[in-house]
Amino acid sequence: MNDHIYIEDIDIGDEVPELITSVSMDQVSAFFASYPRSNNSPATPSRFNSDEQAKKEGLAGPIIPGVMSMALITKVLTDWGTGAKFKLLDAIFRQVVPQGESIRAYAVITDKDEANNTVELDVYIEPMDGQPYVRGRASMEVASRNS
Amino acid sequence: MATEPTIDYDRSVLGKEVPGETIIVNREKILAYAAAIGETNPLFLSDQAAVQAGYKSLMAPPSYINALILSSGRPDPKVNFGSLSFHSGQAIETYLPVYPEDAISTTSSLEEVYAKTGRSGTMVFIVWKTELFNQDGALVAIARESFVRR
Repeated sequence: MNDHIYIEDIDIGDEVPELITSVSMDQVSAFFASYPRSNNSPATPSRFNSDEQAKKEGLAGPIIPGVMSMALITKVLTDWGTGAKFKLLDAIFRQVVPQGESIRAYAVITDKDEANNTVELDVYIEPMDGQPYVRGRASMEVASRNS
Repeated sequence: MATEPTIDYDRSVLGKEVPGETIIVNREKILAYAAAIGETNPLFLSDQAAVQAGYKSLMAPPSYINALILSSGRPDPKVNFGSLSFHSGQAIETYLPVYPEDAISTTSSLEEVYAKTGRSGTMVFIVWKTELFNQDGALVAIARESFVRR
């Protein structure tokens, strides 16, 4: 969690501090286990918990579910700093995100509206070198020094 | 301008609201979710920190909304197109925090079915909208799930 941020200090083009991580199969299993009801039982082989099943589906290996990618992007946004409040995330899953590889989640400010204390952001999950796996847009409410 | 193909599906499903099962939000599940994504933000981990920040207790990370959406019980729009289906995108818009012991009810509806033709051919997108309400009947969040068939 970072320091307090104010909308007056934000410029278009600023980047929200990135998250570099790698997600394991155990983490994906723990993620689904935290759901109140999950269709992804660890007892049922799926593209998320079985290398063999993922390959049967034509994938290179097990993948990270889209909703977990969303969780990682949301974490980047909510870690930005006190004074910033999550409002919206609209994510497009362009490519599957592989498990066990380093990925980079980050966000870039694309617009700000000081009258309404909101900023718009483009968000991404990318491999360390290559095209985005996930991209989208987000909206955050950010505190003003004047309120 | 190219005209997109007409899609064969059960249009009677479009816009029909389907209530979902009410879920009582469990504190341990929130903490397990936070642990699974490496969460360190005290608002999602500590009652004391959340209360100091003006909330009534620790709350679920915003993306936990996705965990509260159940697709079971939705009618099948019987989209007659393609053989492959995958999750192509998702949007969440939050209005209120989700706290432990909240009773979250949902209403889902098929929002749209549309075709789009690109370099790789025609794809059909199926979009479900879900509204989530708490025990006071207040709107907590809106989610949209997009699935593509090709």
